[in-house]
Amino acid sequence: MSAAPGGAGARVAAVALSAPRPWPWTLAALASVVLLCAYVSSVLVLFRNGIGIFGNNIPVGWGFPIINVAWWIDVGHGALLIAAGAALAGDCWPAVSRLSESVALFAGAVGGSFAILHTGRPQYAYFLFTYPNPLDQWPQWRSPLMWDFFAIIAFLVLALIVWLVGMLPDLAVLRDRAAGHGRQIFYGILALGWRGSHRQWAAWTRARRLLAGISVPLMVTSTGVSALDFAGGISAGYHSTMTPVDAVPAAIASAAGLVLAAIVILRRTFALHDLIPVDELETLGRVLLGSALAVGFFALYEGYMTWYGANAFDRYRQSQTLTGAFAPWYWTWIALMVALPLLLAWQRFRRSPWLLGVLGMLVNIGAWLYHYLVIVTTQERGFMTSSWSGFVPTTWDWLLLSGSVGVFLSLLFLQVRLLPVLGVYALRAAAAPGRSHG
Amino acid sequence: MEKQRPSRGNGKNMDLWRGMEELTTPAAPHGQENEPAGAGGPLSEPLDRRSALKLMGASIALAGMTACGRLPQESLVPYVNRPEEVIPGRPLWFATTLDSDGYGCGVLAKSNTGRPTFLEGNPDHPASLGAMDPRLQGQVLGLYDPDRSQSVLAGGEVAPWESFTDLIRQIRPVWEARHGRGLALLTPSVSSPTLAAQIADLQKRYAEARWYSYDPIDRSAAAAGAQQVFGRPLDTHYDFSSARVILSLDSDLFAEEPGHLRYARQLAHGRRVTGGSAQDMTRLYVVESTTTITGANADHRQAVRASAVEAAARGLAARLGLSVAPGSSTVPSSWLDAVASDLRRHPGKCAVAAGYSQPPAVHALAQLINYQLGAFGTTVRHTEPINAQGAGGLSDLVAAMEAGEVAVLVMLDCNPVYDAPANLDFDRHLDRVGLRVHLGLYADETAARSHWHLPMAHALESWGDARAFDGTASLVQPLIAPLYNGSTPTELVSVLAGGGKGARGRDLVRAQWQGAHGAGSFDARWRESLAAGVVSGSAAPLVRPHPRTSAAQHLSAPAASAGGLELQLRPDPWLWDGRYANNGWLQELPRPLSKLSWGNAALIGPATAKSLGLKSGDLVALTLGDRALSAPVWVQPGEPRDTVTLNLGYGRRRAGAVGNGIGVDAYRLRTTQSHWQATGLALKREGAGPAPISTQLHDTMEGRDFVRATTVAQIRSGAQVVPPQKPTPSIYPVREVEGPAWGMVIDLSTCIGCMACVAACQNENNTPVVGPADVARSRAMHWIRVDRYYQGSPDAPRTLFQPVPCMQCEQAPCEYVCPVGATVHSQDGLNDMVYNRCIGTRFCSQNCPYKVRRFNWRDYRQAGFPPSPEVENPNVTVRGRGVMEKCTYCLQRIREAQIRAGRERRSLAEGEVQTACQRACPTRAIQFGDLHAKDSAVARAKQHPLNYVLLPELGTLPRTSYLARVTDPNPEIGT
Repeated sequence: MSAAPGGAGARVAAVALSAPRPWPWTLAALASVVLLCAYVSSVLVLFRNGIGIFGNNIPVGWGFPIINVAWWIDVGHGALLIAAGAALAGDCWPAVSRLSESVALFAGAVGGSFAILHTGRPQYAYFLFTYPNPLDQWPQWRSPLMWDFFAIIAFLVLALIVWLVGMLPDLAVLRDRAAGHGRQIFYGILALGWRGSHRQWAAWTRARRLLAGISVPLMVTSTGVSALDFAGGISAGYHSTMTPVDAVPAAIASAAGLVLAAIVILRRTFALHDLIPVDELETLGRVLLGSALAVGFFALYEGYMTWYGANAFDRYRQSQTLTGAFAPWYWTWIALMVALPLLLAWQRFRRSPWLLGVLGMLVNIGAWLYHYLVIVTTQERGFMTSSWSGFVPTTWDWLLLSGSVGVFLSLLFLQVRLLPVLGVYALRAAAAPGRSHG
Repeated sequence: MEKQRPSRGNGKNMDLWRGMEELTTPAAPHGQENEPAGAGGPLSEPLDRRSALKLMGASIALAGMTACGRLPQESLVPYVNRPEEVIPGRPLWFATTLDSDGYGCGVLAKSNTGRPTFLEGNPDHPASLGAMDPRLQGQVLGLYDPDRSQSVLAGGEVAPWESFTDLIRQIRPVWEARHGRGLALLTPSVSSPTLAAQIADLQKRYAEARWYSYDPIDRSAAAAGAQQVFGRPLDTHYDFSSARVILSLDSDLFAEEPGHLRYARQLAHGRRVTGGSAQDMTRLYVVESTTTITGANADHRQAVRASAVEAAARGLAARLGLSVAPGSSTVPSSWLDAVASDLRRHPGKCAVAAGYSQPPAVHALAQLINYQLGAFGTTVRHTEPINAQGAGGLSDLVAAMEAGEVAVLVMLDCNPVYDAPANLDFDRHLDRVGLRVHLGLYADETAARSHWHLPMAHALESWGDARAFDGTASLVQPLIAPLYNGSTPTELVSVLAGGGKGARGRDLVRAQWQGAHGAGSFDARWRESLAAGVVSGSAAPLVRPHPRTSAAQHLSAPAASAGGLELQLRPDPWLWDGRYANNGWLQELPRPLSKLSWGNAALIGPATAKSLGLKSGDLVALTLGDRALSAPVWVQPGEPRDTVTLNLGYGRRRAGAVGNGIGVDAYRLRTTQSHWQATGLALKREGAGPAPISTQLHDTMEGRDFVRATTVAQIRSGAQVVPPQKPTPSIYPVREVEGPAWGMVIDLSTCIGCMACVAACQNENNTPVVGPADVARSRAMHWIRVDRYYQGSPDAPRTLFQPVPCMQCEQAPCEYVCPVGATVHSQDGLNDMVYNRCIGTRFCSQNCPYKVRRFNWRDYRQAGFPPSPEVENPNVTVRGRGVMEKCTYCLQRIREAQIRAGRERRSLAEGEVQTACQRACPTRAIQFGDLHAKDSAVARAKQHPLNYVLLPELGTLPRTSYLARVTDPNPEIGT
């Protein structure tokens, strides 16, 4: 790897500007566009026909759309925390920083879209907001959904700022190296006139640290508030004071997994092995292991407290979750999100990129199953046994879910193709600590 | 008060204006009365240039209007002098009578600006006592059914009425010449005195014309049984108000028998626990061969094969001292001993009732037992047959058709092509009839095979009369002019007899009653009968028969009980014999015990299903002789062993858009010999299929105490059924409210699970019909539901019912979670739903522990089976897509009453506001009112020691509470 500043910048710029596209990459990009089209068509059908196209019913009023909100938002929150952590801890993980910032924004956007799509009258979703109206009508402040609305907005705003600010120097690099006039203008606008002066670098570094400092408490509270959607309800599987707390490590684990998978694929496709050493992957692997262990701890804790609380409804739910009707979901989640990441305790596995990537994706599937377990099965068997019913997802449920993955991937593909994919600053910091800019 | 028939606005205005002129002083357009002809007007003065141009311009502009076609000359004048009592926005109530299983039942119909939108029972009518059942409630929807027959069909082509009346005019001389030979009339049993008199008149006119009558749900076994015992057929009805012991031998007294609404009220009277003490409570014993509401409410029940019911009756008779040949019964001997001794302990205060599906011998035995117990005249009453019947039945008609003796067959309000027993092959024999005329509400299966189909006027558009189960006569008056120019059976028979189409039903009915009443004050009596909905004093006189001494010995020998599977055919609780198959409300309303919706199934008990290796959803081929039918299986707890029950009324081919193809046609397995049951049924599993659609998928309470039940013995021994509930801590302040506080108490001792409340709520609150696909996805929209739980062994379970409306919680978990504040709490304790504000996040429903909230997953005014807009209650918002809805304690009724009371400067009276569910309930199980009103019944009920709420540990403080169910089982019979 070239220690000269131009070398790293050139490599990063090349990814965006001129690197040849290997055919698997193009194929994957096309696939994600197809899924994006599935998303768009599902949304159009949804607006036309109403949420009756999904499998929801009474008692299971919340189905796939809410699971997707919770899943995507959790990934986004976790990614923001990882980005903040990376920035605060020396800012020398180029791939992790950039990709987690991107994942935070994109996942948050996709999750936020589901929050609108799951409502019965999305055209009136603005009722959630404090808009001026002649009826003196405010939102209902005691509702956890109301808090979640503002939490997601705050999160998205912060994620956007972190993402843009973090990319400023790299956008400047692309601006300087861009060939066509159009591209120069495009990157020039985004770079906001970055000149690389000492003052700008100093200000930028301070800004990064400040944003990271804000991100940490915001992530914790925002994840907690999103989890209050459930903890604030009275249903047996929702109503637990641990829910807002144990959502945090779960979010971190999901995000770590997803970012790992993204980095591994990127690294392989564009042959960035030297720019993204295995150490970086291993660090993220450690984060994944740690958060998975935390998730496991909270699962045990929850199990103990449920038994200790001796609430008949909670205990019934627990029995169904551990050994009854819902056991398949539960144990699959434990396997994917708690048991499998334990492999990362061994360095050999921690330093194996493909294992990290696969594990990362499995952890996310586990996270989705966890949300299904909490959101859907709780309502399938609620308080009144006469209302017990099942939930069967429809084709539109699956299409919208896979479509949302397509939206996310498409955004990531766009990021890779158009915008700097690695933090040059961090690259230099990693290569020569103390001589990070010049 | 004579009803003013308003117009439908489609050109049929003539009646209204004629009527108005009769009623009011003619108000000619102002100023024209005294002007000479030709005076005034624009051309009476010399024209100046300006006026000429104006005129020419107007003419040119108007010249193009001739292209619009000739507009009818009508004077459209708003009410100058409004007809009395018609105030737009304020409904009017009219008493009329509807058909309830072959007899009349008085209802009050609510008319909103000229169209009926809601039905309530007529408190003055003996068959209703103010109560309703779903079959009656659904009739108002059927009035507006767009699939109703809208025109005369001649050979399938639309034809005017005149073509039919002309044809009859041409045929009549032939009939007169031949004394009516070849003319046959087919009707159901006739409860209308006018129609019966007219048919009798027709038969006098055409001496050889024949009248056949049949009912798919026929009760001829009772008449035959009475014939055996008394030497003549008599109708039997009951008065349970003083009965302490009731035994039902396969008789669904409280849901299917004529008079079931009244019987239910009387049963409730005997079971209600007033105050803290439990008085001598009515005990109900049931021996039945299928699952019914009566059986579900029994203190002690035996589910046995049909033949075992007869054996049980014999065994009982023997124990009571009658000399009858015993049969071998699967009912335990100790059980019969206990029942017999209980009956003996209450002479004159007990009754034994036999059901229509049992053979005449069982009815005869029931009569003898009742006589032995001294029940005649007290709990068991006899009258001469109330309904008029034809000389022959369906088999006789088929024989006549086969012999070529029927040239003209006129079928009035029946559908034999669909519901005749399969072995009669009615359809094929119909071909031999030269002229087939069908009068019906729908162009149904029979209409398709008839030369002439005539649209029938719905009961709500007809003049007529009917007799109730005890003979009480009441008039049928229309609430709206016939929507589709239909005709009543009375009018049609009058056409056959020589009257023109112009003979109006009203005149015919009036003439009949005038003739029966005689001279003097008829008009006053007519008006009084119309207003009250009952012809006072017209109950059939009771007879006091004595059984023939040898009756007991001459009973037919008990049938040998055959082995193998037994098929039980029963009318569907809501679709009845299939006549209501196109009624969306009734198709969707869950059956009371199986909770099945949109389809029937072969109901098989758990033990039998297990031994046959079947589970719910399996498709089976049922074969009886040479007839076969495929049906899905539904495992139904409580079904007798080796019995398969199938409901009639499904599998229709020409019911309409709603009913076609729903369910399987059980009539295909019906024969004249095995009208209700048949042995030797063969069953073969064909494969798995989708499970029948049910609204309740879980049957047990899982140890939770939703329905609390106790016994009189436990109460007397001081056991505390409802322990005092400690108040749950809450961070929210307790709201102290002045002014009314609405609350509801539902007495589970008297609820029989009939679901009249659900049907009434759907009618009152414009609840949509969502269709089978959405009900299968647990999206039914009923605001109140009746949960049905089983306890004990699945083959002989105890059935418990619990109506669940919105609990209107004082600390409602739904209110604090709505992000936009679309559900709020009112000052009078209601949880209000603000439809306009709702964005459909459904957190409220997620947080409702009782799951009483319903969501509009689709626009059910487009998708699903939208009701005709005319039937909707104008006082209740119609909800759009994406909006949550739920029971509102009939807020529209509360506010209406409050506004009325406010205008009259008084406070609300006790019982002035009644919710739809409360009003419809036959047993008066639902109490509703102002908890803050002094001495209100509901406030007292809340203080009742048996009062409890659902899920009290959640701290929701519901305003809807329940009174624990108390029964008085016989200690001699083990549970």
